[in-house]
This record gives sequence, C-alpha cells and structure tokens, in this order.
Amino acid sequence: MAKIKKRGWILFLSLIVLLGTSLASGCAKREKKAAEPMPTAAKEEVKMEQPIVLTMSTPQFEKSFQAGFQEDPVMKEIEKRLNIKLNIIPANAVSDINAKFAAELASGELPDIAWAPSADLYNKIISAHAAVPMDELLEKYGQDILKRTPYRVEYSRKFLGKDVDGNSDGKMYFLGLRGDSEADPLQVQVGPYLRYDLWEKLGFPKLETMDDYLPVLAEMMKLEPKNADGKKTYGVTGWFGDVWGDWAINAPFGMFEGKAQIGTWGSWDMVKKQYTSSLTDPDSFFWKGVAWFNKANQMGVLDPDSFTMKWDNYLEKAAANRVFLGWAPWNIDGGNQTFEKNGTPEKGFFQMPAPNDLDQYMVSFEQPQGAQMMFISKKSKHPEKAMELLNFLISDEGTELILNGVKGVHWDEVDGKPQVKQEVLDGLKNDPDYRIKSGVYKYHNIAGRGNSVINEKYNTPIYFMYLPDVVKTRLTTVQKAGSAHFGEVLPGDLYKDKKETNFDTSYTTGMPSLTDGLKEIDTKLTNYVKTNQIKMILIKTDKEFEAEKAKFIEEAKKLGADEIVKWHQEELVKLKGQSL
Amino acid sequence: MDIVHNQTRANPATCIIKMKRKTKTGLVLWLMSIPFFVFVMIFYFVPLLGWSMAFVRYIPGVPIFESHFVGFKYFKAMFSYGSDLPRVIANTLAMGFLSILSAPLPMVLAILLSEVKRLKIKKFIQTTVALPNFISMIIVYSIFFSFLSVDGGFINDILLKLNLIDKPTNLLANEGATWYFQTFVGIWKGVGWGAIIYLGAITAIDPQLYDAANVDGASRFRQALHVTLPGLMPTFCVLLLLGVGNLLSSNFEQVYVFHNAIVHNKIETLDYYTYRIGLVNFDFSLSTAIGVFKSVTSLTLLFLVNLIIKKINGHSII
Amino acid sequence: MNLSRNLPQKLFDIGNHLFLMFLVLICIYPFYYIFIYSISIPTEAAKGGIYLVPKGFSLSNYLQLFKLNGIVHAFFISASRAVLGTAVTLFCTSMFAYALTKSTLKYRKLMYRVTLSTMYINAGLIPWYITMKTLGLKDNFLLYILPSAIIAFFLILIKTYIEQLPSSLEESAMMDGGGVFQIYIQIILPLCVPVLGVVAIFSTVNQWNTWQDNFFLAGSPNLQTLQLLLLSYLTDQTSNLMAIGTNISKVTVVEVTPSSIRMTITMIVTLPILFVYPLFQRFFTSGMLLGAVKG
Repeated sequence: MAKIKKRGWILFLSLIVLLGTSLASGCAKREKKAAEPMPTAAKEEVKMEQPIVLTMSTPQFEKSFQAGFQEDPVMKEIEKRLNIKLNIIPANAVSDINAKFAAELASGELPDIAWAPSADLYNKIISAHAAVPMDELLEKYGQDILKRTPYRVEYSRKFLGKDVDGNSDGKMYFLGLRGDSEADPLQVQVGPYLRYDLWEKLGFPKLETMDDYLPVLAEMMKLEPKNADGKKTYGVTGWFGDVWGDWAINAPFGMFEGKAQIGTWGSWDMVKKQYTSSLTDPDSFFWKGVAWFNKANQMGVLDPDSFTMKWDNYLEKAAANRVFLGWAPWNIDGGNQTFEKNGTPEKGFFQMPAPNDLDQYMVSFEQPQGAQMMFISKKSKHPEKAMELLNFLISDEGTELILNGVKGVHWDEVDGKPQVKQEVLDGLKNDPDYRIKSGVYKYHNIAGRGNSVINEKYNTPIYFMYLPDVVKTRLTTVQKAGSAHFGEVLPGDLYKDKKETNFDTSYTTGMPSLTDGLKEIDTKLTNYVKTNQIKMILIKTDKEFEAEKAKFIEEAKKLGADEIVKWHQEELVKLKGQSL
Repeated sequence: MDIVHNQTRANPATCIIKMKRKTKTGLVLWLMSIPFFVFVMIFYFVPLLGWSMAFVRYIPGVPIFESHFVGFKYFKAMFSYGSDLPRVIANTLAMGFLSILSAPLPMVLAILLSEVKRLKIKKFIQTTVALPNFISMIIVYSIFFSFLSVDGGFINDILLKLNLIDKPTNLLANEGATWYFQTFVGIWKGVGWGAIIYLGAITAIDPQLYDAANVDGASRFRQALHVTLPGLMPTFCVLLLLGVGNLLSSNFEQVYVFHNAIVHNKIETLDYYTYRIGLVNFDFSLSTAIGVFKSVTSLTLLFLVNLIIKKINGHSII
Repeated sequence: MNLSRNLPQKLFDIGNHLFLMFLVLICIYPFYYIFIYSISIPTEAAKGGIYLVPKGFSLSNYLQLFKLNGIVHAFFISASRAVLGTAVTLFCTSMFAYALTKSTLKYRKLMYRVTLSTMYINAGLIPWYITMKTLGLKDNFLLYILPSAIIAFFLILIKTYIEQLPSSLEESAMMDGGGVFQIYIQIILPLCVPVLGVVAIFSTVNQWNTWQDNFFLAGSPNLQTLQLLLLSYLTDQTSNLMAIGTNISKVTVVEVTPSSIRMTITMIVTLPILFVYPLFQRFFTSGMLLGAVKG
C-alpha cells in the first residue's frame, strides 16, 4: 500500500517537472517565432524599405482565425502595396468584448488602429483622449476617403466627436468601415418565408395579408401533419425563451411596413420620417405582431413549446422541417438544407411577396456612415501609415481586394468586367478553410464599403458574388419555381417596386443619451413589454385579448411610454436643424 | 500544554531553551503565514481601490482622481428602479433559503456512500454522481427541454400514456413551481460534487470511535448517526455559514438559461436584475456600486450570523 | 450478532443501493445523452429526438475539433496550468492553513477572516485587469498559476480538517523537539492527504475549466487554453449560422452544428477529468489512511 502511494507521488511530481520544463522550452521556442517581425520593426528606421508593423483590432469575422501576422495572398498584397505588415487582432465573441475593450482603454493599451465595439463607447473614447484627430492626416493620406465617402467624414465630425458631456471640437476621430448596404439581390433580409411546395399543392391560396397566412398554415398542417421522421409539424414556432425571443414578434411586422422598432416603445417610419409610439397606438405594427401570434396560438398553428424554446431549439425544429413559416433566410436555412440532402430539392422555402399593399418595405439596413468604427490610437507611432491603410480599405481597390481576393490570382478582368475564377468558386464551396488560406472574404468586416456598393471602374457591385451572372447560379429549385410563378427572375425582384427599400439607420445618431429619469423609464418599460407581450400570446379568446390589450396600453402609459416617445420626437426635431 | 508549563516551572534550566524555541517557532509561523497574507492583500484587496469607481462618474481611460465625484448617486440609482426590487429580492431570498435547506444533502449522500462497502461500486457511484457538475448550463437546459417539452417530451409522453395527466404540462413554463424546480436543478447539478468534501472529511474521523461503537453493539445506522454525523458537523457548519453569506447570490447562468417571459416574475434574482439594468445602461460606475453593495451585504450577513452563533454557542464558526 | 439486528441492516443496505443506483441513473444519463449526440451524424442529431441510441454514426465532430489549429498546444497549456496551478495551490494554501491553526500565531483570526472575505468581494473587471497588468501577468503563463496560490474556500476546508485531527500526534512530535515547519511536512501533510485530495480535484477542475483569464489577459496564441480555443470555434459556428445575407458560398463539406459541437466539447473537456478523478479518489475513499499513518 505504502509503496503504491509513494510511486503515485513520484509519478505526480515527475509529471510536474516534465510539464514545467517542456512548457518553458516550448513557450520560448514559440515566442521566438512570434516575435520575429519585431526586430524588423526596430530596424525600420535604418532601412526604409522594411515594412512598417501596425497592430489593428477588428470586429469578429465570419470565420475566425488566430490573431497575429497573416500569410495569405490578400495580406501579402496589402504588404506589397502599402509596405505595411499588419498584426491583426480579431475580436473573439466568446465573452464580453465591450468589457474587454473598456479594460484595455482603462489601462491604456490600444493597438495602432482600434475598433470600437459599441456605439456607447465612442464618447468615452473621446473623453479619455485615446484617439488621434484625423483631419490633417486626411488631407495628406486620405484622398480616397475624401473623394469616395465625404458623408462619412462629415458624419463623423458632426456626431462622433462628442465627449461624455456632449462637447465636441468638430474634428474627426472615427472612420466607419463597412456599412452602406449589404443587401443581397437574391432575396430580402426579412420577409415571410413559406413552404412553397405545400402552398403549390394547396393551389396557391390567397396570401395578401399576414392574417391570410393563418388558415393556410392550418391547412398545411393537415396536408403534412408529420415530418419525414414522424414528428408533429407546426405552422410557425418561436424562440420566446431566449433573451431576443421577441424579435420574431416585433421586427418582421415592422419591416413589412417599412418601420423600425426603436427601443421597445417607438416606431420609426423610414419614408415619412416619423417617430411614433408603438406600444400605446393600438394599430401599430407591435400590436399587429402580438395579435397575429395570439391568433396563431388560438388556432393551434403556433408550436406550444415556443414559450420555452431557445434559439438552439428553434434551429433543431427548423432543420427537422417541423415548421412551415420563417421570417428570414437564417430562420429556415436548416430546413432547406435537409430537403436538399434528402434528395427532395423541389421541397423548400420561398420568400413570398410583402404581406400588404403598402408601397414601402424595409428590405435591408443601410449604414452610409459605416458600420465598424475605427480610430487611430494616440499611442500609435505611425499614425500616417495607419491613415494610409484606412484610406486603402475605403478605396474601391481596397474593398475589392478584401472581398474578392487578388486580381489575377482569384479573379480576372474579362472584356472590361470582373470574372471570378472557377477554382475560387469551387474552393469556397468545398473547402471550409478556403477563406482562411486564400484570404478571399477572410477580412470582410474591415473592407471599407458594403457589399452592394457600385464599383466605379466596372459599374458593378463591388462584391463579385452579387454580379448578376453569379447571383443566378445561386438560385435553388424552389427559388426558380417561385420566381417563375410570380414572373420574376430573382425572389428579390418581388420587392423592386417598393420605395425606400433600404433602411438608413443614421437618423438617430447625434441624439443625446437618455437622461437618468428616462433611463429608468426605459428599463421598466422594456421589462414590462418583454414579459407581458409573450404572456399575451397565450390568451385564449379575442375578447379577453382586447381587454388585456387595453390594460397593457394603460400600464405602458403609466410607466412613461408617452413621455419617452415625446422626448425622442422633440430631440429629433432639434436634430433636423443639424442633420446632414 | 499544562504539562509543558509544569515542566518549565519545575526545571528552570530548560526554560531558556524552551523560550528560544518559542521565539523560533513564532518566527517560523510568521514566515509560514505573512507572505501568504501579503499575497492575499495584493491579489484581492489592492484591486478594491477600484471600488472608488462607484463614487465618481467613471470613464475608462480617465484617471479616477480626475473623474467627477458624485457621492452615492449610483447607490441611489440602484434602488431607483424601485417597483421591481421587492419582487426580485423575494425571489433571491426564497431560492437562497431553499438552497440552504438543501445544504445537508451532499453530507447525507456522503454518509450513504460510505455505507457502500464494495470499493469498486463505491468509486463508480462516486464518479457518476459528480458528472452533472461538468455539464454546461446551456446543455443542461437543452436536456431538460427535450425531456419536459409539451410536444413529444419524454416525461409528458409517459405521463400521458399512463393516464396520469390528460393534458401535457410544461414545467419549464410553470410560474408556481419555479422556485422548487430551480432548487431541484441546483441539487441535481451539485450534490455529487459537493459530497466529495464530506467524503474527505469522513476519513478524518478517528477509527477508534467506530471500534468503540462496535464494541458497544451499535448498529451501522447508529454508528452513522452518532459517530459519522457528529464528525462531519464542523465541516457542515462552516459550509452552511458560507452559504448564508451567499444568500444574495444565485447561480446566474442557471437563471439565465431557464429564464423565460412566463416564469420571469418568479425566477428573476438579484444577479439577473443587475445584469438586466446594467446591460441597458452600459455603466461601469453603476455596476461597481452594485458589486460593492453585494459584497458588503454578504460580509455583514456572514459575520453577523457568526457573531450570533458565538453568543449562543460560546465559540464562533469562523 | 442476532437476526433482529441484521434484518433492518440488510433492508437498509438494499434500500441504500437502490437509491444510489437511481441517483446514478439520473446523473449518468445526461452524460450518456451528450455522448450519443456527439457521435451521431450532426445534421441528423440536429433534428432532435435522441434518447437511447445515436442517430447514425459519425466522428466528424471530433475530427473537426481535433483538426483545429493549435489544439495540441492548447491542450498542453491547459494541462500544464491544471498540474502546476494545483501543485502551487496545494502547497501554499495548506501551509497557510496550518499556520492559521496555531493559537500562538498573532492575528491569526484576523488573517483568517480577511482571507475568507475574499470569497465575497469582487473588485470588478477593470481593477482586476489593471492589477494583473501591473504585476506583469498580462500575456504571461504565470497568470494562470499565481493568482490561485491562495484560494479562500480551500483554505477553509484544509483548516477545518486540520483542527479535527487528533492533537495527540502533533503534540508528541513537538515534545520530540520537531520544529513547526518540520511537523507541517512530516506529520500534518501526510495526515491531510484526504482533504488535499479533495482540494486537488477541485482545483484541477477549476484550472482546467477556466478560460476567462485567458480571454481578457492573454491574447497570444501561445497561451491559449483548450477551453477558449474550443469555445471560440463554437462561437464561430453559431455566428456562421446567423450571418445574414452572406450565405453565398455555402460550404457543403462541414456538417457539424453548434449543438453537436457543444456536446462534443463537453465530452472532450470532461473525459480527461474523468481519467484523472480516480487518481485523486483513492486519497479520500479508503478510510485506512489515517490508520496507516498512525500505525
């Protein structure tokens, strides 16, 4: 017994020693490798042709990669053109990136070019004097920014330079990358996505309003009561158990009418430029959404588990094709893929026309001011190089490079038009690591512009996957059938007659932050709405629903819904005087 | 100790040697404790300078002493969201008391385990009951969901087939059952892991006590009651007291995943509440104020109960 | 031994075993569920409805994770911090705990209570971040080891345990002229093996599972822990699914789902613990240790 014990301890101790020594040597070796570019940076002053090392923190990318110097052809191209070696630190959304940024800001260790992860941080960055004013640098190194995105410059000067007290020196501290519109011409971002094959089987019953959908969904449940695995199906289901579960109740119904929800209480009409209360107006899109889901529940069309489901649970049901209606491509993609894999590509979801006859619809969000706000850190030793890089990213050439890869390597110019190489298309389709290796679309979130911006040189979308020929190749069997039924080429064309299809989110920027009293109203109201709107879906009769709705509106008024909307309306009027 | 004293008194020659040894012992003891205490001060108490953030309008990157002093503004703000707070505190305390009530369970499990005499079986059970501790809350929820869901959930299916219920029930959306259900989840997840502490403590019990009990003809049950249980009491009391200090903290992750609109009014605890108001406001000073408030209340509670026990019992637990 | 005494005992034994078996069942099943989910074909598993048998068989989850860049190194870092961190914790905390049991130590109650308070105080992220950075622990492997040298909870466990030990052994050693440190090494530590075993398993699991310090303070890939690496991959998968309008180049090769990855990660990080656990277990399972030391 004692012997065994002893041996155990010896084993344990030797393990420690072993691990310790190998760790020390292993780390040392690795560090050497990582530290290699450092000496080159130090020598840089002696030999000017040595590339300048810049660190840059960035948003998260769709496919993550390890922080550090990248070796792909796209990054090599940047190095070749600008003589910059970029140490890139992508955000990792595993935990709170805002908190991490705040800690870095507090301890004063920002990279040369830093990304501000939240709009709530802009004024704090200004107050902390952490950013370099860009104005002089712009004149020298930012010609493309001034030429191509004057709005972003104006916008930044006017709205983003304020400190926590709202004071501004009128200089430019932030440059927005990305943004514009990223609308895919193929289909809209949010709309009724319906099981097209079942609708066809039912003989294309009329679907002009959202209420028309309910009986059709009930019919579909009769037509296909069980999925391929013998599990019960539902017309629609939700993920109300998740923190953002109310999205499906509010957002789509607003977008159908060309309106956006502001906070939990307000509605912004993007055509009329009107700000109204969504809670206390009984005819608002908010109430349309709640009433629709209530009716769905009363009719047995809504999955009874919706109330406790998380987003993960929703994905499971969607992938198993146990639901007939979704609100966005990412709601129903799993189902489409399952049909595809089961060898039944004729089944699937199709994005239907808008469920109303209004002439406005919100097809996508648009951020002409840019989406990812970058600033040059005061600590940076090479602000002029940082500016050069930002300028390149904004330029057509830069955006083109980030989104599509290197000309001659990943795409060619044929008859004056860009053409993506077949091997790139194949690579993207078949190799999950293709983006990381090739650099194509790897850094999409630091491209200067949005995907559907028009490239001045070719007069085509700057993202070549949006070229008309490429878009057509992406059509599925169902999308082809559906578009043909409506006499269009692409599902997205169903919305071409709507006006103001892109939602410009820049209208509220420059608004002062809520006062303490309003913050309190906001918190209370949000809590009340998030809890009670979902409970209202469970109400059993229309009569009871109307009574509860009246109570709800009264309570919302009591909590200050009108007050907070009024404040917004007044501030917006004030803003108009200085809006761009 | 008495013997030592008598000896010193009796023999003055050894007195000096003893004295020397005593000072040496004292020095060694200082060396064995002070560095660690200094360590604790550096790693845990120096960061508390940051609590000053609660009294100024803190902006990351602006030094504290250059920040605008606001006094107790953020502490007042914490309570100004008024109407929700009584409900939130009621939930927190209710679930806190339920978890204190369930505090003996790991100890009971350890005693039951110690009654299993076949070592292999014992080890097997020990290992398996600790497993739930390693399952992340998100997965815990997805497992509970797949078992409890109204549509095709395992439990509902069985109950329906056995005709015990005529309509599926949804425990996850049952407001009335929330406190008990959440306590159950907590027990299920922690009981096997918590028992490990008591398994260690059982080994400290003097085997002679068991021998004596055996001679007296006490059954194994009586032995457990009169030897094992008292032997575990010191550990239990300390852990219970620590639990009292934690009355106001709940398992945030658990509340977060099991939270939904239907059970909101019963499941929202102080931690979730601070998360909710903090998230909206993005306010470092406010969140620090909340942290200060919680730390101070917990410590007050802990030492108050300790003091009361000292008054009643004659000696304190910590 | 007469029958009337044996019968209730037998009944108790049977009941006890049955109860424990039931407990084992409800504790082991979820883990079994995670296991069969992780070896099912991910897209099939994603449709739900797994109870007893996997849906198809596929190791793609595991292959996908094992293929991750730097996973061997990350495993190595995690294992190192678990082993080294635990060793440091055991040594420092037990020594401090022993010193605190000595009534001759001045201010021992104060030191104990102050240390214990650390369980309830939280300075907040920013002060913690700045302290660690000032101490030079940012991007330093010691970040994983040093801060956990003294853990209040473990200190309480060990101190309570030492106070329970029969004092006769220590006294007789003292009489023999042993110094405090000597007694700590030669008498107390061997006697404390059971509680040190408990603390060791707790600490190992803590170290193995912790990634927050890695996330906030160690950005270098050299210091990446297994947990953070796997979680990053998981976030990747989830955000891929949510990426609106960019599903242009739908990759058809990878057929893992966020859920299947999550289940597989649980398996990968828990299995090493399950292998290590029995090693510690025997320190606190057999009640013979105390007797052995005494004899």
